[in-house]
Amino acid sequence: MTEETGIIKAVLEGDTESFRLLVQRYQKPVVRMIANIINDRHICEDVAQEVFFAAYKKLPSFDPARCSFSTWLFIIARNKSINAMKKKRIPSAANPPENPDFSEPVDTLIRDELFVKLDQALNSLNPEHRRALVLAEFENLPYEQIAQIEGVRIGTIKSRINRAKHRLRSVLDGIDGDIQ
Amino acid sequence: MKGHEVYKSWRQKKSQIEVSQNFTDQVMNQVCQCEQSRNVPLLKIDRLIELISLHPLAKTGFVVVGAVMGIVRLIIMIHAILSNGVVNG
Repeated sequence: MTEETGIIKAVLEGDTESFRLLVQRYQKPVVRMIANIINDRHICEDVAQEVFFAAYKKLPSFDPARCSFSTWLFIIARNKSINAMKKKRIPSAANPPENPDFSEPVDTLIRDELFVKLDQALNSLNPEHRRALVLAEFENLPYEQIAQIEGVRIGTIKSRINRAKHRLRSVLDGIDGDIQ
Repeated sequence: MKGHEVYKSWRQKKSQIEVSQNFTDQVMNQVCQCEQSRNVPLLKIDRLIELISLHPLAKTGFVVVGAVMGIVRLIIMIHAILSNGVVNG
């Protein structure tokens, strides 16, 4: 039995406080994933709280034979993010990227300007492509796990990520080098 | 400055996020509230049965309320059947 399975078992047996360990372990990736998907830092923690609360309530239905706890949690986070975007009708630029600070060195200015452009390109992506990219690039999840979270084939995920990267690559077109 | 370097540092920037210090406590408060509401029965049934059985008036009232609810339900059912029949007919 893994440590995580032990914690889940304890929670299911009535040790509510053990759930704190799961929240502490996954709060950062869940908040980060939601923040990058819905592009709204103000509500991402509220949505993340909903995710953990829903996970607690649904914990008896979690089946470790079907997927890992992290995958299961990310599926809930994915669904809550989609709902939050629908509910709030979050426009793609709800959280406008920070403008570059012109008192900084030229190199930093150029880099910040490119960051702004990359943010805009990320926000303009199709939600499915954006989710796939966020999970692959910012959460470093393997394609197989992303496919499980999105409920599609690995090939579809690869194609979504490639398209998203192609879009981002176009932002950096004028610069030396390329996105790996 | 190379494209992949810019992309790499952008990725790093996007991967950094600060979570409120009380985030876990807020989640656990919700969880505890949920547990408390689960443990407290909405209505103390034992006490209610005791009260009804002790007072003849309460017994009569309970039976009358039950009968009225039954009649209302019957009326709603008949209405639903008739209105469906009219629509379909």
